[in-house]
Amino acid sequence: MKDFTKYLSKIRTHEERETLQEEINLVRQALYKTSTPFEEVLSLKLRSWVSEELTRDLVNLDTEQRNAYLSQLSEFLNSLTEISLSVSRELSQTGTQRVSDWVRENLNKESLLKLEIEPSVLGGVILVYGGFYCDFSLRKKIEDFFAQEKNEILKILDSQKA
Amino acid sequence: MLVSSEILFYGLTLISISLSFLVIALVILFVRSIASYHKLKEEKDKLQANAVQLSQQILEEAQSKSEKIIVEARTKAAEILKTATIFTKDERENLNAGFAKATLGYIEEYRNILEGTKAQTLQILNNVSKDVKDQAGAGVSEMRQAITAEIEKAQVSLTQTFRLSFEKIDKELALYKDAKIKRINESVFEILKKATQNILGKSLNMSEHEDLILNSLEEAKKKVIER
Repeated sequence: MKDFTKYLSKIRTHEERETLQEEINLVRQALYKTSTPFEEVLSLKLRSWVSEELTRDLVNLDTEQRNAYLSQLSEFLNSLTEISLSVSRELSQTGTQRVSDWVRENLNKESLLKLEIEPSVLGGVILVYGGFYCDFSLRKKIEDFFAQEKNEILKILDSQKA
Repeated sequence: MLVSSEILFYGLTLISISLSFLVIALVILFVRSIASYHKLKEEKDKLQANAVQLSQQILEEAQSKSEKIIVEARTKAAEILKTATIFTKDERENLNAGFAKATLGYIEEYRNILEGTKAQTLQILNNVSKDVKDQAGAGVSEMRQAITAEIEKAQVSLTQTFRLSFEKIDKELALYKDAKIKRINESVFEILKKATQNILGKSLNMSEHEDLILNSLEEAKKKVIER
């Protein structure tokens, strides 16, 4: 297996992997077609960074070797572990990068973020990883606070009765 | 609230039944008084009839007695007249005068008997009226007392029933009020929680939002994953 880790810096989320897989499929299909030449697909139908990387890696290979390379790349992408994160809203590019970096550094080096947007989370994150369900959302924190302080709050409300 | 309505309903039903019994008792009492009045009236009529009969009897006796006296006097006079030839003129005059005197005496006696009978009859009649009046008055007074007593009893019973009902309703209202306030407080608590969630959730900017995610991940790592 070749070293595909250089792709990891560009692939941080489940969606980004799916997009790259579609591009790899386009290239693989073009290997055996005469109507749409392989070079044309590489230069025109892929994102620039994908085109650059694949051109560099495939330029000296024959068709069969190219196919094998693309197949291995696809397998590598599929082997990445998905780590599910529920957040209240979309993250910025920087934010996605920061979270991805943290996850790869602290949990799994070869992982992808599967971000789910759940406004009811309010803030923070619900992490599902390796059999763990970790609800560290703002909603949970507020609920815990109110559950813990319920009697005290009700006492205050009750004192307003008179 | 439903329980209060039921108590009120049962209370009113109990009161209605009590009042019905009271009315029935009063009607029975009234019917008895009327019957007593009729009985007394009959007795009065009977006594009155007896008195009239008695006075009639006395009158008849007096008349019979006087007639007998007069007949006796006449017989005696006739006997005297038969032997009148042997009397002198003066003696005849004396005899006539005596006879007139005797007649006047008998008339006077007869008048006295009649007057006595009349007075006696009037006395009997007066006594009968008075007895009837007294007995009827006593009956009415007794009935009035019974009615008054029953009304007082009903008033006491009603007052007590109402007081107990109101006390029970007051207690239930207090319980209902407490439960309602508890429910309102629970609702306020939930509203407060939702408001807090909304305010805190919306108050985060993008940078704070992402920082909070990273902090939460750190917390998850320390508290769950590394444990």
